[in-house]
Amino acid sequence: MRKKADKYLGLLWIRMRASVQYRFSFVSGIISTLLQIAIQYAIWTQVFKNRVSINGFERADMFTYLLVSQSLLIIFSFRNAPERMISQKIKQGDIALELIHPVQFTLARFFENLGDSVMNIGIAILFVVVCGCVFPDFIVPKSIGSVLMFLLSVCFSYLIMFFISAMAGYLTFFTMNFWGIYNAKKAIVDFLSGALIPIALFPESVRWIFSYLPFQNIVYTPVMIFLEKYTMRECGVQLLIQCIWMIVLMCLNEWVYKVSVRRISVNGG
Amino acid sequence: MAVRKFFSLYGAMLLKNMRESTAYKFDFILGILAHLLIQASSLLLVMTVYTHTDSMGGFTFEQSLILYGCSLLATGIEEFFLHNVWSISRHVNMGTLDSVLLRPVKPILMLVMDGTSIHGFILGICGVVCLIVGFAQGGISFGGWKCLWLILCSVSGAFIIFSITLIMETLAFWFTDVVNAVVMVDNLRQFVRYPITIYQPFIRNILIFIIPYSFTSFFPAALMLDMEEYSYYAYFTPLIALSMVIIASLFFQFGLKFYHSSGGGQ
Repeated sequence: MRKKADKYLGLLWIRMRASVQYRFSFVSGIISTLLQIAIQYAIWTQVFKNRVSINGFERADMFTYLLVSQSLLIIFSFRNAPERMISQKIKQGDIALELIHPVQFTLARFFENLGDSVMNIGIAILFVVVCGCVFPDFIVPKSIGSVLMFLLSVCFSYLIMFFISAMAGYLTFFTMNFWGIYNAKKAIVDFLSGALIPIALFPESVRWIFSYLPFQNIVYTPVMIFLEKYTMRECGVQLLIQCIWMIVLMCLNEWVYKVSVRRISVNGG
Repeated sequence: MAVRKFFSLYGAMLLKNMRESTAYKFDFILGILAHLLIQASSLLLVMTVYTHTDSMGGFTFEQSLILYGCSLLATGIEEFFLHNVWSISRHVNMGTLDSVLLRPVKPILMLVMDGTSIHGFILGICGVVCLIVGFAQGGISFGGWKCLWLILCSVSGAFIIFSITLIMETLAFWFTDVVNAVVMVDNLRQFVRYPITIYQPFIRNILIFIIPYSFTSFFPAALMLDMEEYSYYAYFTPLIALSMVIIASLFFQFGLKFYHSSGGGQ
């Protein structure tokens, strides 16, 4: 059992060290995030000139939402997208080799991804902490319980995001190139996860669609927990929903994986 | 070199690149859908903002739509025709610029020709749609004079974007990790999709005087919208575009002198 864990941790470690090489693209990613925040901030400041609150969101709520959701996006942007890695392996035929390796394919990719994310996670945490200290407008959760639930929620979000990316990666086998799927996934997730706009701000008629899809659980749910917009009971319900989606996506992912692998084997690749 | 030759070469390159993009059909269609979705969500942000307020920086919804359309149009034209300028830093770093320099065409023209992105075409279409909806719904007048200046400003705007990117890319002759800086400057372009009146004076001045992205969308839009205080500046756009292209090209020629090939060549 220990030996097995070592293999996966080894993958994580390699990736983590490699990610240090990408320092500059990393910094520019942070600055791009800051620019995004600046634009959104300017826009919403205009709106709040005439209104005190929108659908239960006050100015401070909006500001905090922006900062926390963008921090989460830093983590979830998956610089070395699982899709790209998986599709590369499929394209180059390395997949045959990988399947021989004594590691589970998806699990291996997960740990690689985690290795990549370590730096991002550190920066995101730093970012949130600094904002909390520097900006008076920034709302900090008042109870330890909220913070813990927030962290748990973020873990679930990470897994949900990973499974979606991995599935997209396996699907690239059918489309032969990862670029289209990557952009499609990015567009859908950015839009439906509450990354750009808090879902609570959408008109009622549209909102019910979001609740049936897994995406809002990636950004919207954790940030709402952070803002303490949910009662304890509602938090529990949301966490449970995240859990369920996580399991559903994991099973779906395994199924897509098996289908893809069978296809490859049939093709004699 | 002869203008006709240039255009026929350009046409050939365009076709070649289109064929490359559509090689993987399903992936291509998916990519297009993805880009449409990205545009839709950006527009949705604007629409959502306007469900909660009537004016953003002095712009109504229809006016913002026209502003957005103008920025998409300029961006679309640049991305479709001139996007290959982004490959300069890659060529310089990998030493593959040799193959470009060896061609019997001026390097800068060669680089410009060899890259087209269907993404630009889609952006252009989205931009036109935004403009049409904005004009129709807002009841804003549109005539021959405005049409002429719209085309002029959009093309000029595309060249302004091109020049700024070229200047940044030329830095690759001296620094290795330039792509990130180019991306950062390009991100500033996002600012001008919305009325620059919503930003602090500091940011506004940067976007007007230092990195003049405002001239790609805001001032042309002001002209379309008959906004007295700002529309006057739109007439400067072609002039600014021309001078920026000249400056950027000269800078590129200057940078070329510092080019050390990797020795391998292709």
